[in-house]
Amino acid sequence: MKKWLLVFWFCFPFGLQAQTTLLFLGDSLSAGFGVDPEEGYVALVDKNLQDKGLKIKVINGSISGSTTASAAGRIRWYLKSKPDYLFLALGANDGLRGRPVGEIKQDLALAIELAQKAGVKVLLAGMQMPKNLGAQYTEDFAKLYPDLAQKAKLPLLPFLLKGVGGHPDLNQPDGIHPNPKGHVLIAQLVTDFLILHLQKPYGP
Amino acid sequence: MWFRLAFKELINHRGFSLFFLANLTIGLVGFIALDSFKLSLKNHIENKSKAILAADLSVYAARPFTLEEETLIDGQMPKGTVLTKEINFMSMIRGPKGAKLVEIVAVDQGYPLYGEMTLDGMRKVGPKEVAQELLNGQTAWIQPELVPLLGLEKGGQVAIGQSEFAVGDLLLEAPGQNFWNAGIAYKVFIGYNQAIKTGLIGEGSRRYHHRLYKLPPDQEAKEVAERLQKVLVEKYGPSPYLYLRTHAQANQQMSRVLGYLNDYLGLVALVALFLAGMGTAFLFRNFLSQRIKELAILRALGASPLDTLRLSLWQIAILGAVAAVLASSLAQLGLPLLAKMMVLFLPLGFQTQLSYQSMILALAVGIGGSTLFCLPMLWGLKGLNPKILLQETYSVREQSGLEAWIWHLPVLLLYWGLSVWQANSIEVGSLFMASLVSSAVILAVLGLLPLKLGRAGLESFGLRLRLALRNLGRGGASLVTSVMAIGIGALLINLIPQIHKGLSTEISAPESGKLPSFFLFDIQPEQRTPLKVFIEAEGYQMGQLSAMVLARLLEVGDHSLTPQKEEAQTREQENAQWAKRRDQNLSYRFELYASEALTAGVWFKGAFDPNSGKLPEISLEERFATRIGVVLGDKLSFDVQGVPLAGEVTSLRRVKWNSFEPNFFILFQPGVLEDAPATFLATIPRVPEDQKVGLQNRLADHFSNVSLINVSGLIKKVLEVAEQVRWAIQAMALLAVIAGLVVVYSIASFNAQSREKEINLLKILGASFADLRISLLIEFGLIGFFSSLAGVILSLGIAWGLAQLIFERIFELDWNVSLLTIGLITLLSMFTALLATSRALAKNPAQLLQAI
Repeated sequence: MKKWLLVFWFCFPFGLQAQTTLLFLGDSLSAGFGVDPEEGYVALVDKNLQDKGLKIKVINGSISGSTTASAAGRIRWYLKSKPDYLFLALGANDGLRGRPVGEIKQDLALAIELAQKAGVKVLLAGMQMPKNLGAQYTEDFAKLYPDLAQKAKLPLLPFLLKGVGGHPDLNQPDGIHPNPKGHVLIAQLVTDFLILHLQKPYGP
Repeated sequence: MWFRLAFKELINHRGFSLFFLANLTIGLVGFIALDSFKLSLKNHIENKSKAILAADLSVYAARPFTLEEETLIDGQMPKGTVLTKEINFMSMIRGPKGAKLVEIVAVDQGYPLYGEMTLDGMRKVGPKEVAQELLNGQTAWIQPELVPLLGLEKGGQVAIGQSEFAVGDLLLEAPGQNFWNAGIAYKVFIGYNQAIKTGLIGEGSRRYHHRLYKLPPDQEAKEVAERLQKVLVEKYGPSPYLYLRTHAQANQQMSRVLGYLNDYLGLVALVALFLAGMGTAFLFRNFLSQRIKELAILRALGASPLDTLRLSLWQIAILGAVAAVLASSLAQLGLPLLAKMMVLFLPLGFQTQLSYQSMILALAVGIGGSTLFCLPMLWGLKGLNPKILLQETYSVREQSGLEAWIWHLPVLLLYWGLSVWQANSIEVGSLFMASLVSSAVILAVLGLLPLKLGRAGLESFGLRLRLALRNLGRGGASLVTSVMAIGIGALLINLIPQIHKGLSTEISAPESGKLPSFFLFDIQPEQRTPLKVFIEAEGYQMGQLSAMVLARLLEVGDHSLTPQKEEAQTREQENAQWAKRRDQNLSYRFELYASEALTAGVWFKGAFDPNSGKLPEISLEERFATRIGVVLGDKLSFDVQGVPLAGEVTSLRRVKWNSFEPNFFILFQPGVLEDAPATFLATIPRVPEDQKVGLQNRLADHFSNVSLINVSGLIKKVLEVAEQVRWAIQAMALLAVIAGLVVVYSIASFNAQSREKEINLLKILGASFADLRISLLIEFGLIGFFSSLAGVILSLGIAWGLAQLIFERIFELDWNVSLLTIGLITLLSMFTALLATSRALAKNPAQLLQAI
């Protein structure tokens, strides 16, 4: 029993370095809120990568409703497993709650710094706020991701919901969360982005 | 002539008439009052839900409606329908002091379709003021909390998108809007066209366009919605882009709560009515027994058996009608009282008028119900022969065995019909009926067994006990009926308080002083100390800091949980699916909260020791455990954000959810989850009302990610409502108890009087007054005791069963009521027997001899 416990408690599945590990850290968009787990874009990306013969273990550490404030704490937890890549897709909830852009930026910068210090390569997913929040806020918010990417020299996916956000036929009735069709498009966008940026020997 | 004779006899037997009337009236009062209350409640729910939606029907979309859609939708509305439009969206607005996220509600001509808006100084306004102040200028009505946040005042300027608005007034309440959760985004009302000009609505905006319809009074929103849905599907296919909502859908929660209460009150009313019915039947049997020779004389004078039947029917009809009128009048008085008790449910005005249907119902149940209850005895009159005048004793012939059941069938059918009607469900009504009938059979067995068995074992005791037991042993059908009736009385008397106990346990809550003022969410681990320091510096305390770790439940025992795609058909399936949804919030702590009680297993034995060779311990909320089918000792496997973690269920807890403490379904033993990514919940108790906005704003400035909800206002409302419900239930339970006691008296009285002659015979044979009195007391005491004991045992079983099925497993035994029921019925039985036979006991045996 003791042996089993040790295995169970200390050997995280993604801690085994037999293959590359990619950690997704996001909110409800990445957690697949309102769709079946296998319909969420992270699961689809996993499948896409497997289909392309890439030996990458995908871990979805996304939590619905989470904000950038939780990013650093969550990364500390996952660092124990030494992920190779971190796909950071947070900030939508902060924006929708009208949090000051400076504070969101600070939270994300801290998370990036933590990951990079631990040798994790960070890939950043950008967000945009809808126009109704006001010109000033949406502009400030839109700038925050390119600023962070430039400063920390990160690959940036400019807008995670490109081609999906604002399209009623690709979103659930709440108008915020993508439906299965929307997730398929996001998965394709993210897969293309990952293939472009995951370095050899992991790339195609 | 028969009517006059019937009336005269009733006047002559005033005692019986008054008792009969009192008995039937009590039963009918509860029944009628509740019937009227139910109707009023239905109207109220409709009004309330219309005000909650602010319309009968709303069609909405996350984009503007096309002209074609507008024409199609409007074309489906009945003539006389009124339309208004609304747009809702979130936006950052700017005042002199800074920017803040708010919810903009843009309203058009005609808003609000139902209800009123409340402005500063409790000024009530409607469509006229909306048109004058919001639609004819650049004016905004804002929630008062925004005043300090934005540095605004009445008349000040606020920037919304590209437009400037003057703050025209402060908005306290508006139909169709929830204000309690405004902590995240306060509301700002502006004009519809003014909103369009802000530049915030258009491509890339997230907003909802609503078309709100007020239908003519004779139109049902549900029917119009179904018709419209069909047309939309035909035209656009099963597209989800246009959504329909009726007022009833908008208010399902309210409807559920009231429906639940309504069903419960209906059940209590049925119980009261059934008890009253039993009481009337026994009283009438007693009455007939007293008058049997008078009826025989009538037969000797040439009256036909049908005439004697007619006379009795007239008597029942007169008493039934008078009782119905009395009950209606009393219900008329009682309804406002009931409405007063429920006043918090009824903010929009509650019509307590007694309905026409209720009056008819009272007459029908009063006359028809009593007749059917007395039918077996009435039928016995057909065999009444004048020759009984020559017999010493004669009692009304009653059927036995199958025949008796057939004669009881009409009343059972009537009661079944009423049960189905009250429960609004054939299934529930039938179940109620079946339970009642099977209870009667079980009671007969339970109650008679000790009485019969006791006879054999106690033969060697003294004369008094022997006499009592012999009498009991001789009692055939009459003893069975007494035991059944007293048992059912005891069952019903005890049942209501037992259910009531469970229900009040469910709805009662701690004193308001112990309730939190604020709930804080999304506190990050590193914010715990700074937040505590900040709150203490403000002069308050941060309480009940609880970690919340998101995990996925993977396996229950050895069974993997697969996501369920099929739609839940019943409430039970819905609960099971909900419980098995894989995302669960876990927490950990060393101690139980005051709102928790361990119901099985043992609480955590300190922190988890990884070297113990055991799995970490898990404590589950007991109802949650049932829903996922888990018992003590079972293993649960989770995925804690990528990390597999298993534990063993070592305890079950009962949680009082309305304590408003941060409770969880799943608690892990400390020492396991501390390193897992968690956010924290906390409460801030006792913040004075006038300091809340200030604290809320300062907290938001310092900890912008922490969401803070002002819960005390909401909790206060919930508690007030709970208290009203408790009172309403208590009042109804009291009614059932009174009805029950009247029945017990009727039965005991009948039994005792039927012994009059036998007592005199015993006197002639030399039995002393004391012997007879004590043996009588023993006999009736034993009947009362064993019947009520059987009734109480069965009622506890039923209450437990009901708690499992209906009241979500809340069952708390109320011993006091149970013991009181047994004690009271036993004493009442003895007292009544004494009272009813006192005349016979006091009589000189010579009188009996003379009579012979």
